[in-house]
Amino acid sequence: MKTLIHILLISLSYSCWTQKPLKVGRYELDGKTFVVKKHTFGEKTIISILVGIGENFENKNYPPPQNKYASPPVKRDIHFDTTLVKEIVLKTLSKKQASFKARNAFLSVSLTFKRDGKVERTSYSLHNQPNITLEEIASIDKKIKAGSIKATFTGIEYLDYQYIHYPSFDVFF
Amino acid sequence: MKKFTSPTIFFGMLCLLLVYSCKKQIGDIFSDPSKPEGLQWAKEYYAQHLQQQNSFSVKLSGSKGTLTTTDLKNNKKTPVWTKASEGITFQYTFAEIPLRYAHKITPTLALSKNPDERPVANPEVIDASFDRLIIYKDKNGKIGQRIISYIPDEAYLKKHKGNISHNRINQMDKDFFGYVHYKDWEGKALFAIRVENGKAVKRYNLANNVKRGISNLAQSAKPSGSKVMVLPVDPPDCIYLVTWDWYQDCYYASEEATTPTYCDPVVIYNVESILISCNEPSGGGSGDGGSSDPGCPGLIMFETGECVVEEPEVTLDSLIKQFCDNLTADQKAIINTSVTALKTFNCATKYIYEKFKTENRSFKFCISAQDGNASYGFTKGFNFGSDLAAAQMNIVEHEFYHAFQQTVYPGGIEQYGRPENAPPNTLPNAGFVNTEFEQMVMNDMINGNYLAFTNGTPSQKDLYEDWVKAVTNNYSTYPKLKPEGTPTEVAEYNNFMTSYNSFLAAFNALPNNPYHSTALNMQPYAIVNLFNHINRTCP
Repeated sequence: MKTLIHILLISLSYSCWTQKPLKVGRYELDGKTFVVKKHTFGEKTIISILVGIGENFENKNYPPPQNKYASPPVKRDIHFDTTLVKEIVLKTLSKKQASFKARNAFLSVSLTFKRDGKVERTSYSLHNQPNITLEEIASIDKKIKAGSIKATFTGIEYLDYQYIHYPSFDVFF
Repeated sequence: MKKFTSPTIFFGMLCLLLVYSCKKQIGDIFSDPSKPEGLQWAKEYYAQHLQQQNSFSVKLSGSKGTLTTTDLKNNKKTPVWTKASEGITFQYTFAEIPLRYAHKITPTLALSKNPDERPVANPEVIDASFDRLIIYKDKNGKIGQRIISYIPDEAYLKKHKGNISHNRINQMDKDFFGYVHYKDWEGKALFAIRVENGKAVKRYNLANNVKRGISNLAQSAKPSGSKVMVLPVDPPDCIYLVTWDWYQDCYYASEEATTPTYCDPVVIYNVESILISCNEPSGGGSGDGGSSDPGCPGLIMFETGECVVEEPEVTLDSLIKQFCDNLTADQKAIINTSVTALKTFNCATKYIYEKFKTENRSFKFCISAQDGNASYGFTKGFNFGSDLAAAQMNIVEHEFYHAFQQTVYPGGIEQYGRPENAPPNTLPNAGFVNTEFEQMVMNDMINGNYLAFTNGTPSQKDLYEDWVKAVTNNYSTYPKLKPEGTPTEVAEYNNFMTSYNSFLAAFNALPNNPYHSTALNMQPYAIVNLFNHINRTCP
């Protein structure tokens, strides 16, 4: 009985540890690296999560455009189903929506696409301290990269670039 | 009865002499001064290309009627330059010159089910028909020629009392019904235009006309009063456009007269036909004025007879001072559309557009291949690398911000421009990165884009994006910066500039950055100026 209680307590503490709010650092999960940073601008504090693979991925430059003076692609020329991304976020965090809403918390999602439209890289910013765990971010990230999100491009600017960044968009609860 | 005395006769003769001596001058006063001088180019063309090829023969073999012999007659054509007029359309400058023949040949046309239909002459119509030589010069300076025959319908001719010679090819009577027949100087039929209510409603290609044997015809024509020129047509048989050429000798009162005083009766001289359609009703040109075709709204091309419509004149935006000479009308229209769209693209472009307009600023616009999609220079104006670039509003917006920088930076921004474009006696990379980075920050804050660290690292990209969102309150406001304001405002400005300069330094250090420069940390004059004047909603 005593042993059983010990096992239960250990399990409970482990599960509490894994559910704890994000802290600045570098984490490995599902074969991906999650780099958590804190940015402070005046009174605003933002938690940023960069998701990538490999060592020091966050400090490697995106390749330059073919034409050195090329203008980068703009938001209006990048098209994909943002509603689907929002649905993924809201469904994953459905149990926490009420508390997020109460503190005006929101999650910004930033996507980088390859020229073929597939999602290459993601990053997330947490505003107004939503209590989101690494597992939840990892779950959202997995669903976004599952293949249902694909972009198309218009204009001429994207033709010069290997990777096309879509500016972050916000998901409110 | 009073007798005329010698002094009276003398006085009368003196008056006559005076009038006669003044005749030339009076004539000069009332002549059209635009005619002879303006047609010099046409006269030169005629002299060089047409005058020497002027001995075409009229073969009367096989014809019957007044002239019954097989004959081959020289048919010299003579333009009457004193009666020539000049016209200008959006495609051509042209001379229209009355043409006299040694032997007048008049085509008449009709739609018929039988290409060997017996020709029926209408002497009034044939006598009133006339030829003019058109020598035209297109927009590229290419000169060509056509002989056109005006052939009226009987009703229209009667309405104008047998004289339609006042018509010009670009100024036809609004009630003109008939045909205009085009041939070249050698006499080869090219095409015919059916004209109704003064407008071309149908073009018939005559280039593949089939010559008919005159002997096949039932009888040659006899002048027959008021016969109808257009024969009735009943579906569903095949329809032919038949051209009958009529020959007659005409006599003129003077060398310069264009209307004969008398013509011999006509003789059928040549018959040609071309199949228009089979098993369907007439394709137009009925000659009864009942066609519902609205007609050519533009101009019939002298070369082909095709209808071309003038592109509407584009009202140029007041910010466009001039275009490069090599731009096409389409390219000018693209630029004009983009510049005008700046008025509504966003609050920043609207503000800048109106500022330029108020200050009477205008620019030169070009399209030519270059490094990058576009560029702006104070002296050279705007250049777009392609038509597509000129149509991309974000590219136009980008360069427009540089034009704005030019107006707010002390001494302008050309001194900080591309190293290869740096003016003499300036550092080749004096501060290029400052103006380009500022432009990107403006664009990102205004449009929610992410341009500045496109080539940066994921960390730089995220940090920069979070900063832009923070200083714009998630794109709901613009930072109002007052470097010369109260201590609080100055502190806010310094706070902004600390981050701004940090990002500027990071941007400048991006690998292979073409905007890299040695001079950094210049004040972002355009951001300060622009964001203090605009809000998220436009006035």
